[in-house]
Amino acid sequence: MNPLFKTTLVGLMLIATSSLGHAQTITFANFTQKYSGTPPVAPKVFEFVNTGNAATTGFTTTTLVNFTFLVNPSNPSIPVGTPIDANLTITSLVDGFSTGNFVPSQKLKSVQISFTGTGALAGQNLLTVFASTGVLSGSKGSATANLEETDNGSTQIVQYSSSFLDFSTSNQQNYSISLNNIDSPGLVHDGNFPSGYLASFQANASGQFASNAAFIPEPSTFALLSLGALGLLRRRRK
Amino acid sequence: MNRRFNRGTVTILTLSFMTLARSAYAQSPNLFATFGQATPEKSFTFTPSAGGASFGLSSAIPVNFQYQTTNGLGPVGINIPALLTLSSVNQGSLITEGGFLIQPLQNIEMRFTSLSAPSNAGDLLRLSLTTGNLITRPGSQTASLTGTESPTGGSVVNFASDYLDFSVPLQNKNFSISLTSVEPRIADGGNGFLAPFTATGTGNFGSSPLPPPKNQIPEPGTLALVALGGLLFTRRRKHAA
Repeated sequence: MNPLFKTTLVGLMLIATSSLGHAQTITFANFTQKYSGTPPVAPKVFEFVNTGNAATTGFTTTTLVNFTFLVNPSNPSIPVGTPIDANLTITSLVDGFSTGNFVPSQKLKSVQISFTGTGALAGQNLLTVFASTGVLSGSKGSATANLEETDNGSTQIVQYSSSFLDFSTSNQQNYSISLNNIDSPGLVHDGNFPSGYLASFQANASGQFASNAAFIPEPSTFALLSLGALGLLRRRRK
Repeated sequence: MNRRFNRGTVTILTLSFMTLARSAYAQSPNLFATFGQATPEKSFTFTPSAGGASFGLSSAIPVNFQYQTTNGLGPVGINIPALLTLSSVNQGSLITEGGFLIQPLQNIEMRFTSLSAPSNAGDLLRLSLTTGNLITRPGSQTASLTGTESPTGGSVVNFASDYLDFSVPLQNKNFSISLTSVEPRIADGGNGFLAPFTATGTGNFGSSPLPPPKNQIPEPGTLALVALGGLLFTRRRKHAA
């Protein structure tokens, strides 16, 4: 087979395959918290609020973060692999009572995570996450915890939307937010067994988001395809 | 000895000391550094083998590192391209509890080295823990690696850096790393460890108080108060004389 034709064919196959969605999930974005004020301190604004009432108990935050796309967004002016400022909000409700001894955990529902741009991207949807459920857990008494969820392979629990990434081909998604610097007594139940929740806490956080969506091909793939096409054109003219 | 002189001196010195103490000793842990992977590669690897298991990075990976406190390298919060290395081994067998899988780890070693000018070889942060936990759920594509220094014993957490001073007494030292895109999905390996997997990671580090920068210059307010105390002390001595 003509090598240039083969190159073009490989490129076309890669494009076609990518349009169907990846078999594996890829972490496409992450965020880390930013400091504020003088002296600089990263505020512990990631909060689990326990009011004793299921309707008003849940996980919440509103803060400025570093947001990083790890795959090509549709706007070429947005850098890949380099943080940009973003406004983050998280809201959720609790889904049932907290459980576990060595690993206290709290099921959540209606988890909404939103990153909106600043500056030239002010108000634009960098990423919005809606997860019908989430799990907040960690080692008992620890200063750390984790908020996460994974699609179970048959039901889509986690849904993404963005002004810069196309998730229309995805059916497998997951996210994980790590929390730390929880004040004493750390991650614990509120003591109201069996009908209580995690005790209220405040924390710092960072996190990641993953999907098997067919993201815009890497620049190297386009280069491969272009090279193959150019070579074919030259040969045909000769 | 003049009692007014003594009370005044003690008051001034006490106020000065309290200001310095308060600026150095907060009780609540806070965030001093963060990192996120700069590429989507699933570089974090859990590898069981005969008689043991390891979790870490087979080679250094590029990350975005940020100090979230005053440091000896540069402005707070700027992105510092860095390389990360990580290694750890299992501490005992997999624990199952309440729908969670907990893989205890030990000898956790992490190191962030700067890639950017002016220092291409500086250690941004080194971390060593005697014990930590990899916590996840069966079938999940996420996990967390965490460690907290316990005041009652257990894990010992040590930080070191060329740009933060960890020689001061610190409490509540902790870190947390979130993992996503776990492939294949989490499973009990059936041999006392998790089944092998790869993942992408990002994380945070904290302590109380925040570690001061190396070669720290005291805050202007603190310097002013100490200078005022010194001036008043000198005036009182002249009057007494």
